[in-house]
Amino acid sequence: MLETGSDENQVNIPGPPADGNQALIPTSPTVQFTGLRGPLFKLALKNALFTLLTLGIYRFWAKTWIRRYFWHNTRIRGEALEYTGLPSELLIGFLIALAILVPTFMIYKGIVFLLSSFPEIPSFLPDAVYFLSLWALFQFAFYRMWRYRLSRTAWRGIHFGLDGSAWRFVSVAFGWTAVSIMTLGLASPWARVALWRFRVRNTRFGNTFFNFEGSGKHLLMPWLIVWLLPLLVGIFVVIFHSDTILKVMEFQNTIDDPNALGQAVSETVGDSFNNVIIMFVVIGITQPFLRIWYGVRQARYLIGGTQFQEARFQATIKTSTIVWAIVLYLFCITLLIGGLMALTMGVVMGTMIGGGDAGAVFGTAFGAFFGIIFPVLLLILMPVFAQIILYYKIFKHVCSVIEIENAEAFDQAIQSVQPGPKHGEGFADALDVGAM
Amino acid sequence: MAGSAAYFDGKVATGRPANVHFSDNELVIVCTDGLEIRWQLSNLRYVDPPIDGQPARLRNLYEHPDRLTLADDFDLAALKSRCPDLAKGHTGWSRNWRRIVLWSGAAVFSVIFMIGVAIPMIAHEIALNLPKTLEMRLGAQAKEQIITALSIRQPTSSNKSMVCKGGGLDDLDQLISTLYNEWDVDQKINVEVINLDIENAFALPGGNILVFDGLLRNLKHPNELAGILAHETAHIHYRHPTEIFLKEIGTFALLGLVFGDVTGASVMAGLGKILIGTAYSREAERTSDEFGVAVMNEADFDARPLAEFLLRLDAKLGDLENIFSFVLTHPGSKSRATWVMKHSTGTQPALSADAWRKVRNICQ
Repeated sequence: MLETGSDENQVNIPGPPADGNQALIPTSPTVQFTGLRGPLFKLALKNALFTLLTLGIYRFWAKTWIRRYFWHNTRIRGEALEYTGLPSELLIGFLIALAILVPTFMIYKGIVFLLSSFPEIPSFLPDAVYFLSLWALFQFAFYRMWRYRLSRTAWRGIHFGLDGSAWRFVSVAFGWTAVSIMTLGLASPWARVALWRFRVRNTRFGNTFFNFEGSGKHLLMPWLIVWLLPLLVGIFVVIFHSDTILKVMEFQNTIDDPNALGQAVSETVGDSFNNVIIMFVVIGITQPFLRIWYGVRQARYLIGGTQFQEARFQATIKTSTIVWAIVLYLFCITLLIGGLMALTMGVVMGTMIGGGDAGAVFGTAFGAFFGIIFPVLLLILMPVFAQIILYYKIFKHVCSVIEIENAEAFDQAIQSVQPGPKHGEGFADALDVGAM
Repeated sequence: MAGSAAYFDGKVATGRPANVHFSDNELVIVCTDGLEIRWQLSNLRYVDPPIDGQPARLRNLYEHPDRLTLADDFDLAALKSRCPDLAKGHTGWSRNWRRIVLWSGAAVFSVIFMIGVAIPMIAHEIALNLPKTLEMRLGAQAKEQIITALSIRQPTSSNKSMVCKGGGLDDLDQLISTLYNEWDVDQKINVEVINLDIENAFALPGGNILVFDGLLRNLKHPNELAGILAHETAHIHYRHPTEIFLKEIGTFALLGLVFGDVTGASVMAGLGKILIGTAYSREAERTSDEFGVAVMNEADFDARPLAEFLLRLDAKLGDLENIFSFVLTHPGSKSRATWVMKHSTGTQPALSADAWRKVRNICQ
């Protein structure tokens, strides 16, 4: 089962001593996820409980144990990844953020708030400045978070790493986001590719850097489908139904009562208005799916263009699997909330109707009790559901479809002498960048 | 021999097939290329807690980068019996405790500084400069949440509206505008009477004053009410409700960050409850008393009944029924009563006997 990656690569362990006579054992798949729902559920439940009991302080431990579980169960050519991060590192990162960044930003926010009340300053300006700096900090925290996670990830004893300046990343992100906004989102694929390229080219395994070759133009076609549809519908509505919209707006200005408004609209421009509504509903339903579909195409392309020396990657991620994971997750959450509510209502109503005065007292008491228990239960179970359904399914699927060609390229990587960051994610934790 | 394994030296990502055996208190790793590594058995640790069906991985304490992945034929039982600390975790405390202590201290100082100094200061400045529209919106939100929070604690018959619309409201408005005209209060005052048996009244951001039916029931003289309203109007004039509101939002948002609530959703949801339990500073009360009595004097309303009211409530202090009472959120009642007595110069009643009866029955 074990590959060592040495010259005796075919000589897999276990087997008789290396005297050259051992039988060849079939090589394991390149990437394999061996995690199971049961143990993960136990771990996630324990984490959620402890996090709640410690008012959130346990989250640094919770995150570490969850990552350790996922890393430990991700085997690349037979050898599992190793997560070497420690809860105390995340705690220090958080304390530093609390000591320096949070006060800085709260005072900054206060000053911005003050400035916005001066009539000489355009009212949007302070808010825009605040939003922009928060966005920049968010990007910065995101990059630092990746640096920490990669530096705490090892394979065959060799650590990954992320070099490059986080502020440089912020400036690249700023430039591309500005271009995306100015082109109404058309340049979005180029922006995504540029940021991925920046990250990948600064990522190393040992002392050897990854590379990315590709261009946003290859994502243009799928992006156009997602991007153009709402735009076209909008243009269509403006051209063919502009009179309808105008009439509705006119009604809105003159009629206050919503019932009378609805009646007036349906009487005068009924069919035409319904068509417009139907089109918007269709867009609203299809957009999430199209977005996921595009996200999958993009992920495939970004992974496909990534290189490590001669090694090439491929991940034929399926949209249907991702959609299924998300739908299942949302379904379970809905079921959970619905179930809890139905249970409470049922018991309360049942005892109130059936039990007379004593029943009413008990029903009220139970209702009040559940009013406290309900949010607590949700707080515990929501992250558990996310981990065992959403993350688990998607992670497992992605691992199962990743293929690495010329994976031997990794064997030659030499441990880097660069130490990783001393402490963990800090403001990324405070801002909750990335849930896992 | 204990079994075979793959040895990764922590320098290059190429592993070495190895045979492993125990010798005294050492684990001897003999690689097929001749390299021999010796690890102290007492220093051996699992890399991760072992999982069934997966090869176990060992390391030599935390600091060393080399790893040993054990093959299926490895005698794990023998290993476990010789290495008592195998499953011992690594917390990093020994290495990190100094930094944790240092930064905890800094974080605690920072939080205390923010809550004790920075947030009140900023809240004060903002309260004086907040645009009116925003202040009104905050006030409307706070009002709704406070009424909801209070009504849960004290259910009333549901067929009555929470906000009373009795005929006395006109007289109440008349009283307010009299007080209002006596002084340059730069905000429209809006009084509402709430149908709850709570002996209290308070001012909210945006010029709102809530008076509870429980207070009206327990007043003995119209000038007690006028004095309370003048006092609350003074709070509004000085923007005290807005200031305390912003201060509480800032404080709870900060505490939310500490406990991992990033969105601040819990703060906005619990706003009403937060405000109920908040008290003004003694200084804010003193300035409002001065302002209130001055307004009463200007209108020639006798303010001494207010002092009597304060003394009456002071005697009730400690009664659980009055947990939200005027006294509790207005500290130092006795000395305040004395002060009011001394400075009151007015002589007239604030309302006629007829108007006073109508005002008291707004909720009936």
